[in-house]
Amino acid sequence: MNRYESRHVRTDHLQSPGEVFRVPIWLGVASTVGLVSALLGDGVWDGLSWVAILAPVAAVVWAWRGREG
Amino acid sequence: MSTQAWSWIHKWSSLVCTVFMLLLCLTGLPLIFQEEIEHLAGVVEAPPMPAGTPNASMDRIAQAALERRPGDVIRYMFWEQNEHPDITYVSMASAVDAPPEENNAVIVDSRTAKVLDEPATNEGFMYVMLKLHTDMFAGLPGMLFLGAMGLLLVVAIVSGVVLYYPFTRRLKFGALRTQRSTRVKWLDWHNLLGIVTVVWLLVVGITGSINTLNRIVLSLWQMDQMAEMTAPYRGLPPVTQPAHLEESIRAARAAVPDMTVSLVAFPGTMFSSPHHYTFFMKGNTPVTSRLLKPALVDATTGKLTDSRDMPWYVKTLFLSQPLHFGDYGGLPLKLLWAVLDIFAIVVLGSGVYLWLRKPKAATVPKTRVDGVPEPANALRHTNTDEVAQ
Repeated sequence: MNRYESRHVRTDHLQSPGEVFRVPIWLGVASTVGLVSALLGDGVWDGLSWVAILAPVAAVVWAWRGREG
Repeated sequence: MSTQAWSWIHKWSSLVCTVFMLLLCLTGLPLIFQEEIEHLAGVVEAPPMPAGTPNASMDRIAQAALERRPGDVIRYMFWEQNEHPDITYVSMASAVDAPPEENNAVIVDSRTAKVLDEPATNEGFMYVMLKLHTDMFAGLPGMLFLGAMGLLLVVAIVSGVVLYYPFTRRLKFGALRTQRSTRVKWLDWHNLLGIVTVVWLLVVGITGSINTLNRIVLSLWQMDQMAEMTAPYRGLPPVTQPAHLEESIRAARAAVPDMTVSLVAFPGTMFSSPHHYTFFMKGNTPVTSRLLKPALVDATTGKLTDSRDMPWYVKTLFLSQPLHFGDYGGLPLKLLWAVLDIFAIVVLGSGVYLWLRKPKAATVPKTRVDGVPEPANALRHTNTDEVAQ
């Protein structure tokens, strides 16, 4: 492990729950919107559902691309 | 509650349900695409006929099925208006009160009343997947057991969210430390995939558990609303020769004009009374197509008895179905369902791995370290140790 890697994944301070859960909460909101919207209607509602539920998947792809090393 | 307590809850709730959850995630994967797989496998299609060809009388369609399987009785007939508009599916059994699993299917062309196929319903890959997924071939006890495992999954998810904080408060969101030990790598994957699938897995887990209660919900509805609607018929001998199917379906359509008939349950079946056809009507929006509305028609006269909205507990069950199956937003939603299902499999697998490869450090913290204010430090120590590796 080198210093660069350490800074890459670690924060310089102990985070508060608000900081730790900020992104997960937004992903949870997106998932909820996605799960509900396709129930409300077809067409645009389905499209919104796909985009919203894609958010958690996209977050994983983003994390994987930015993985250490 | 201390982190150690949450850790204990997470460990045990997960360990108990993991094997079953892996089974459910793996068998659920092909089930997401059941419709597509059936289509590829070549289900029977109605032959093309000029548009607007009128449908045969329901009585003739029923007659065709009864002639094909003399000795059997019809229990249900249903329609898939969008996928197969010209087909009537008939579900028959040796007796009206035969076990619910008995399902001798006859597929009839709705326009000509000709039998198109008699597909086997209790064999093949998809059937095995479905049985493993719903009751593990163990009937109602198996189904309820899986429902209980679903509730343990909920406990595991909630405790996992609580533990996410002590494990990641030194890490940026999405940190994947792949260059250190294999354990750190899988810990990060477990945390990342676990936290991004929380809402989806909670919804699929809870609605799955609700779905395991379907027989119970059905009995409740029978004793409650169905008993009220059919009160005047109490004590009358059951109808053994139901007639006037065409007249009855017209009466149901007239009673609920804005909906289409999706299923008819014959007298004496689980979904009806001993004296009625129960027509289940569906609307044409994603929600109303799930919230079936029953219309009861007297099977000796063909006249409507009653039609009411389902009580809240049946509506809850009905809405739990799409939210569990993921079949309400087209193929893209099914694909996302599959991706999230695979994420869940990785969370389960990595969870087992992390438990098997538990580092020594994780057992140390039972001895309190002086000068550390909270007793929660088990995980922080573990975590810091791992970071330092």
